[in-house]
Amino acid sequence: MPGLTTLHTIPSEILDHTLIFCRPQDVSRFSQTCKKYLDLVYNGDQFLWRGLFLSIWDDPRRAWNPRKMVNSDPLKITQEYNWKDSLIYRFKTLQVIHSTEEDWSLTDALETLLLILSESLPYEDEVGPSLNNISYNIIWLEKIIPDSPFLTSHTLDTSQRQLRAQLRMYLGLSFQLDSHSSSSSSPSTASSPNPRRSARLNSRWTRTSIRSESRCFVYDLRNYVSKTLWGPYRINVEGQLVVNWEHIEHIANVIQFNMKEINAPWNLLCPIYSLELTRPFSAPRAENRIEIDPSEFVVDDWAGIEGTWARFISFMDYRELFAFNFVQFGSHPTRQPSFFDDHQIEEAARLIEMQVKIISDPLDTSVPFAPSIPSLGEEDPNYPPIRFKGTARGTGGVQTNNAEVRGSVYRYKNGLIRYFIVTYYDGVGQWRTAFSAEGVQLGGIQSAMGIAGIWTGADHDDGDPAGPFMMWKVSKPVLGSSS
Amino acid sequence: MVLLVTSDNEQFVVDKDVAERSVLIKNMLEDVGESDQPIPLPNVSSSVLKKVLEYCEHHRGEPLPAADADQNQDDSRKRTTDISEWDQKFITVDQEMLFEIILAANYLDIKPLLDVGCKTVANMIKGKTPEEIRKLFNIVNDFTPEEEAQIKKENEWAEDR
Repeated sequence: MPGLTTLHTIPSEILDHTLIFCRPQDVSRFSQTCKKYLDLVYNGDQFLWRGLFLSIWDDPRRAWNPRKMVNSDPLKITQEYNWKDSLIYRFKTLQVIHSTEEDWSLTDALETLLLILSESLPYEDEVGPSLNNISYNIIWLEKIIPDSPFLTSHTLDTSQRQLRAQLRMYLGLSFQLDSHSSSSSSPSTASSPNPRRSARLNSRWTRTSIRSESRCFVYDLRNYVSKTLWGPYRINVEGQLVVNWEHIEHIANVIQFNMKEINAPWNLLCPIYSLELTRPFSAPRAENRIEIDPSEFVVDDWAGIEGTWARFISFMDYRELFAFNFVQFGSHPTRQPSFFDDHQIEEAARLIEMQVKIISDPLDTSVPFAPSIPSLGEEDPNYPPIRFKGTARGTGGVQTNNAEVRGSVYRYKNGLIRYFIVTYYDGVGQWRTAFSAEGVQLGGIQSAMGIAGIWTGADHDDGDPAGPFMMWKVSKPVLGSSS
Repeated sequence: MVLLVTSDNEQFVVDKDVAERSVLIKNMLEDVGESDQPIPLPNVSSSVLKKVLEYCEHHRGEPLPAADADQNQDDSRKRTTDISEWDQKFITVDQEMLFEIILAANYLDIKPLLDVGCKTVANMIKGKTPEEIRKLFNIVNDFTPEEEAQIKKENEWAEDR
């Protein structure tokens, strides 16, 4: 027996193999014991770091990637991922978002969280649900975000607030918070997906009614003007038209509160908000895929349009909408959240089932293209715009007549997926016969979370109403038995 | 039956399916074919082989991991530090024997046993400070105080603030 067998006699590849079973924190501490191990940990190959990284997060090489131009540089695709730097950067991000100090790098941290979300393992691949269908990224984010002070901080700048709005909405956090703090009048028994989490947050949340605040924003008609395409957009400091994620968060809040109050069988179809629903390709595939005439030119349905959508729209009684926007009640100024609290305003809400199919005939001019000025970005040539048409059927309340739906979908190089939808009612509409809507894709491509946006009168006349909508793909028709 | 000879010249007669938990021995047997030739294991002492065979005996008949499982580390998402109850009892040995088992498992190519050993060492490291880890494994701190402070700072990414 030559000498004593100790840790020092263990070859470095076995040590690497051992350290992979540790947490990164432990590996870091191990590296601080002596020069030999410092070198082993930090100057070894990427095997150890890749192992540590993949024990926490999804493999970024398996994330959904937008299509590349055919002649794009193949070197870029095969470029080696830097596991060590990425892991350390993500750990620093974690520290930043949990820090209570004002931190200038919070913007980077929030962007990193959204990047990690966008790199979550797609729910399905080409052939169907992938075997290893748990997303580590989602689990990690759901664990670390609800504890973070930034969620309720009052000192964020505009870009930070935009990033926060996305995260909060995807997690359904503000919605859960409010339903927890204000005892809702609805007899709903739906429990919050994670009561412990919302309780923790609730103690830090100072505002009383998120619902009123969101309604106040969404029904403020000053937000719907030509320079923002009457949609949930804003103009940033560079003068570009971009998505206003705070607007989207308000839309999601209003819609979710309304959905919760309605006791209808299709309530079961409403997505319960969680990061899981943002995963690429998590939307149900259409079982009742509309027959395509084989003689037709087949258009690539990259957005997963064809099939059945559940579309939930909300609107205020027009007199109330008018009063809220233009009439002062005594000393009350207009457009205050208190309007909703004081007057016990209830909105109307409708579930609409949309059946749509793609228009493959390039000469079919019946479908309007979305306005392209002002521009939301440069269109991605790898995702040609899709035009679709179909029918909409309402349920509940007076408007049960059928309507015609036409629209188009775009993908921009900045990643935004935009929906433009026009609905035509055959002369029976409440205000007008046509409504147009602007919506954006939430989460990844073909996510189960769907689309959120704003509808307005198609002609954008003065005094036209406006309201929020959300829509998501369903695997089978919503109505039928209930209508 | 297979005849194994250790570094200290002890002979072990074991069932073929027990010996073949070792991919090294399995490959040797396949190369040599049916034969009564003893298999020399110059890197393994009798005390360690005895222990290793105890493991192989207990796990005989279990499916062997796929040959390329190790190469496919990218998908090693099920990596867990859990150790089964029997294995845990089995691996409760002094540090020297633990490292001997790890080296033997590596040499004999018994992947599950190597993992049990490595996980055990990983569990020993977990949650300890650098100083505690040094003490545990008799590691000599060869940093100057300045270096140590610098390295501590560079490792702040891993610490809860």
